[in-house]
Amino acid sequence: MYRIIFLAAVMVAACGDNRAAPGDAPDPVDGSVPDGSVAIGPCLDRPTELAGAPAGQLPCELLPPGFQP
Amino acid sequence: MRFFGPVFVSACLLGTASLAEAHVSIVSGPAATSKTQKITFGVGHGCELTDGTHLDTVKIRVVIPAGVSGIRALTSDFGKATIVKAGDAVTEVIWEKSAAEPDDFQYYELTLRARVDAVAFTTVLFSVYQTCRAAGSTDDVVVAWIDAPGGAGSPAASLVVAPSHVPGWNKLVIPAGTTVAAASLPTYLGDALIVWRGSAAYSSNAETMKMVGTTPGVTALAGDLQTNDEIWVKY
Repeated sequence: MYRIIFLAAVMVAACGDNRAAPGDAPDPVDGSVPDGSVAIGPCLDRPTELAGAPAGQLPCELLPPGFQP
Repeated sequence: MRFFGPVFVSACLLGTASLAEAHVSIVSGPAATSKTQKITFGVGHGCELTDGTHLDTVKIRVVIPAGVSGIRALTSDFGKATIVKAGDAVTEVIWEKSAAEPDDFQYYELTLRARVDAVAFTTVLFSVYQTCRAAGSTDDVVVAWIDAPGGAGSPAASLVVAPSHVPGWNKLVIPAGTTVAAASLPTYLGDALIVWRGSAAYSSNAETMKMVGTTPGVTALAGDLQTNDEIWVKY
């Protein structure tokens, strides 16, 4: 019985608080940049943009390291 | 033996046009320079006489060119290979079987393992001698595949030598004394996802090239690659 109570206490302590800090910026949902155009920098510039079907322009994974348009 | 006698055999030995095209080619794809790898010769079909008779292939003799070493031959449908040496160097590999099939329906692949030290973005030519025979006959027909590709003769087997690379991005430099013609990009870099020189890109994939044309600041790689040109290649 004591073991179960102890394990429950450990689990509660491990969970912590997953809420975002008030100052965190929202995650971007696409590859757009603030002015509305699509960035074409290498993938390192847009780590949240996952590979998907190309939409007319070269996807970032096909742009060479250090590429500057 | 109504199809060939001594005269015909002699004509074939001289490599005349008595036979239809029956190219022996390398089917294992480009070789990577400075690496040991398998090289496979594909024998698409045997010999076809001008009267339409088809003969099975019974022997293939491959001459090892400069820049190729460390030869090990694989056993094939023809059995174990025979190695011809000059000193320690292997100069020829011969695969031969004793009996011909009654017709020419077989596709043969003959493989050797070798180290290729030829310069990247070049082509190494293997002279290949193909011997055909009718079933039950002792008369051989020999075709010498020894001419430069693209000409009127019987083309030698071409081994494309590509740069050594790893999956992902590779930064390569065109070797000294080497020019890669724009028309040869599919030959040497056709298996790459994309090739960049500065802001110019090439891909053998037509859809990728469409995107090259519609991406701001990017042009299609059209010119030749010159010595010391630095390129990014993604495989």
